[in-house]
This record gives sequence, C-alpha cells and structure tokens, in this order.
Amino acid sequence: MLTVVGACVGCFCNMQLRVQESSNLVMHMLVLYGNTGCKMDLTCNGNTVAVIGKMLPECKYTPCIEEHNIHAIFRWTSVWSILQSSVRLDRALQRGPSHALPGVGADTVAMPTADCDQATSHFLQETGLTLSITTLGTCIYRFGKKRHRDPCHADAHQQQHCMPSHSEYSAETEEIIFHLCRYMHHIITTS
Amino acid sequence: MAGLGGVAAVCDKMLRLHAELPGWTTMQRTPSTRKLTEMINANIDDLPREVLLLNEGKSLQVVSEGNILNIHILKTCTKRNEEHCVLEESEWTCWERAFEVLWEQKFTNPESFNERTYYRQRYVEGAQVGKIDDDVQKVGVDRVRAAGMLAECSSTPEMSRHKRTKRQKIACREENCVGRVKVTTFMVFVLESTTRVFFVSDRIAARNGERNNFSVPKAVNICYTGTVTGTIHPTAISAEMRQAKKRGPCGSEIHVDTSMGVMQIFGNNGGSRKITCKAFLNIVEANYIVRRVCGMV
Repeated sequence: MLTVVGACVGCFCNMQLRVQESSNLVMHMLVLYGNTGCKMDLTCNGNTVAVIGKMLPECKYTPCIEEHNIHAIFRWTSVWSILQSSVRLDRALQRGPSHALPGVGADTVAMPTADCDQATSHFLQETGLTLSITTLGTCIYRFGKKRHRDPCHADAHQQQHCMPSHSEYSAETEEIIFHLCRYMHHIITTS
Repeated sequence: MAGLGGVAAVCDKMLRLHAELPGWTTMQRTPSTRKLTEMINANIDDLPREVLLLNEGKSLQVVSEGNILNIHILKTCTKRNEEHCVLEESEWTCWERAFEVLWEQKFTNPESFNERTYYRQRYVEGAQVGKIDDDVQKVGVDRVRAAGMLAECSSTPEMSRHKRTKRQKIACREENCVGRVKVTTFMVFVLESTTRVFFVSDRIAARNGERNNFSVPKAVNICYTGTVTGTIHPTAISAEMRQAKKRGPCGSEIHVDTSMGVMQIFGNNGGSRKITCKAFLNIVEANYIVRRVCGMV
C-alpha cells in the first residue's frame, strides 16, 4: 500500500496539488548489484582487466589500492559504445568459433541490437557507466547521466552535477540498460 | 594469544586457475567448491604450490593417517561457466583373516544411499595391515598402514572387485578389522585452456559465503528527474503530510515517502517545478507514483 508519511493515499483527498501536467521522468542514476560468485583478480596485469580490455570497449581503470580498498573501478563515458561492441561480438560469434573469444560460447547473453530508436540511442550515448568490482566478486554497476565537461565553462563543480536531460527515457530504454548490464556481467563472469 | 592491539590476518587458501589470458581465475562458489576450499585450507602444507597442466589433466594424492585425499584436475570445459567440482567421499574398512584381506567401500555421499562395494586384495604374507598371529596389532587398528596400503593397491590388479561370501560376511567382524580409511576425491573440471593451477593463500576471506554466491545484477536504486506544472500549496501539503520541517530534504519543498521510493517536489521556477524520484527499482513504479501524486487534485 502506498503510504505518505504514515498516511494512506486515500487520506490525500484534502491535498490540493493542482498539478496539471508533468514531463516524462528521466533516469539520472541507476544502480545494479550482482556477484560473479568467484574471487576476482583485479590487479593491473590481472585476469579481470585483461577480459574487460579484450571484450569491452576502452575504459578508464582505477586499480585497488592495497590496504585501503578492495575494489577496482572501470569507467565508460558512453554505454552506447558497449552496446555497439556487443553487437560486433555477437556477429563474431555467429561467424564461428575461430572468431570467438576464448571462453565465450554462443550462449552468451544476447544483446538487443542497435535497433533501438533514436531517442534511446541518444540517451545511451549520454549515459556513462561506473563498474566497481571487489575481490570477492561483488559488482556494482552505476549508470549515470552527466553533462559533458566543457572547458569554456568556469564552474566545473556545477558541470558535474547531474542535470535532467531532454532525452527521451522509457521503460524500453531501461530494459536495454538492464540487459546491457546482464550482458556485461556474463562477460566478466564467464570469460 | 594474539599480540595486544594486533590484528590477525585472515587467510583463505584457494585454487587459482591460469589459462591463456593474463592473471588468474577461480571457480564459481558452489557447495562442492566450498568443500574444495576447506580441503585446501586443511592440507595446504601437503599440497604443491603449483601444478602444471600440460596434457588433459593431472591427479594428486595426499595420504595421511586414516585419510586419502585424491584431486583429479580434468581439462574438459570449453567455457568458464562449465567449470565445476564433484566431490565423492567413501569410507574403506579392511578385514584380515586366514590369509585373506577384504576391503569394503561404503560411499558416504548423501545421494549414494550408503552403497557398499567389496574388494579382495591379493595376500602377501607380512605385507598386510596387521599380522594375523599378532593379537596386539589386530586389536590396535593400524590406520597409517591401512591408508598407505589402500593408496598403493586401489585401482591396481592387486585389488579385485569381489562378491562377499557368507563365510566372509561372518568373518568381517570388528575384532578382525585392521584398518579404516576415509577417501575423499575431488574431480575438478576446468577450462581446456588451463595451463597451471596454484594452491595459494588469499588474504581476503569471505565470512558470509551466501552473500558471495553468483547473482545476476538487479536494480537496487534508480533515481529519476522530471518536472510538474500547476498550482501547489506547499504549506498546506506539508501540514497534510505531517512534514515536520518547513522543507523536505535536499532542498525540496515536498517530500512524498512511499513503499516504492521517495518523490520530492522542488521550488517553483517560473511555473514549473522539478521533481525527483529516488530509490525506485524501475520507471514503471516511479511513473505510477508521479501519476498518483499528480492525480490528487
């Protein structure tokens, strides 16, 4: 049941919001949690870095700092690039095992192809992903909208704030993001 | 006692697999791989640090008092998610009487229903577990020798499967028992491309095993932004919603807390108000709450 500060929605009859219309909601932060189920080699020359480097588009990698934290961070500025690379990988797998990458079979989680509409494509281009992986296998996928840094603007702090985008965002867009996340998790877990 | 103020390092022994790519991987956590880790923890001093896997696999055996541990590493998997571990446990009992050595293998895996198999060992005088004319040795079961002998003879022509006769059944009494051996066999199926395995110590040990099981990523927190327009009377709404402070958190004017997430309405900006929906799990639920709140006019 929907409750509003302890009160039932049904008790809202006296509230006069008088809201006439609302614009569509747009996601500005989306966090998913998963686990690889195995311990992870997160060192600079380790397996996870090698797998991500081989199977996914270029990203910024921040290694674990010994004694301080036990997670490594991988950042992609645009999840659209991951979607496109997954389509290329799917095609490589369809061409046969000689093109496939080691440890990745045809049962790899199929990605929604680049058939998504222009608004979704635009939204995904503007959306970044920060993946945090711990040595115990915990993965936190954080998708976020950030304004592109423009050196002409002086107030860098303000630029980093999450601002609502005018991009269209729908349940379909969200489903693509969820699917993309499952795809990446499959890559990290099974490659 | 640990040193005052000192923190004892928690170490977990584990099996690391090395293949074509740099670095190492481990197998996904399952009840069997947990037992494998427990076994490695208990026997780390007896296990080699590194095992090269040149051909289709490798077998290791550790024999100790009353115990035999077999580890068979088999390179059979084409994908990492096929990697797994199978555990087989059995208890062997040896009887020695009248120039005859008989072994019973009782499988102790829950799914084996205590199935029993009998084997007859070729008798060589003086080489057996106990000496039949020596009462002291017969009573005191020689567990060390029994494990060693079983390790040497099992799966060789020295030992043949045998259907126990009625006479042998009578003879297989406790006073004729000369040894018991627990045999634990791990069959570890790894990627075909695996080149080496390492038995190593890991500084970070998982205390909560269940929490670290494999899980598909699921949404835990999604925040949305939007705008609403219309006449809103924040004071009245705050009073209606028993909002203690004049304003909601994060600079919002109105704070709507629901079981699906939190909706916040911010100040009027030229007739339009920014709204945020926080801690939702999908947009369908967030849209539902926004529609519900907006519909309360």
